Amino acid sequence: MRNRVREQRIQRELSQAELAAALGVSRQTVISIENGRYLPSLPLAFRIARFFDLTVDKMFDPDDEETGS
Amino acid sequence: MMSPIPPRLRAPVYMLVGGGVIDVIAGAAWGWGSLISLGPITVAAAVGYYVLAGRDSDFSAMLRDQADERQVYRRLKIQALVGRVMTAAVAVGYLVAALAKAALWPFAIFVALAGVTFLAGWLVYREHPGAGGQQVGH
Repeated sequence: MRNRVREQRIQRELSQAELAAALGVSRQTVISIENGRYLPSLPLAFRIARFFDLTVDKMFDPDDEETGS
Repeated sequence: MMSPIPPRLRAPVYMLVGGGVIDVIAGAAWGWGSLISLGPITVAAAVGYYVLAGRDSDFSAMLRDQADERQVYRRLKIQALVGRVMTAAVAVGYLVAALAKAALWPFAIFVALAGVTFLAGWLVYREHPGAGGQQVGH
């Protein structure tokens, strides 16, 4: 599943640590999500989408099965 | 209730207190000279734990009990792996003991314990209708 976390984070000029702090997760988890190694839980996916003012389906693309957790 | 001890310090403090109690018991039993060897081990273990817990890694977050959902999920997978390996080791030990005609009861206890724990887990972690709650995983 592809996501737009890195793209959105860079667009807002945030570091991975800053995004992690804002979402209440570790920097390593942000890295894993950006790299597609970890699929966040539904609550975290909503937190990420809300943080970037996007919907979950805009943030995470279920049609792309390239990566998984 | 919130603990007054910061998360990173919690385990080292418990280690110092617990280790101190063990050191005093050992000192009373085997002579106070044993404190010279046991005391530094206790302090070194607590300091080492504190230093490790301060690093920026998954392992450190788990050590200071501040793991996020991915780290909790990872810890659960590690614990499951440990459980599987230990259960397999006990089963192999049981077979080896049976073949060697050695005492079977220590292995039998652990084989039974694995089964009972599985059943207990099945009951404890079943889904309750209408019950809200956070679950880790996917």
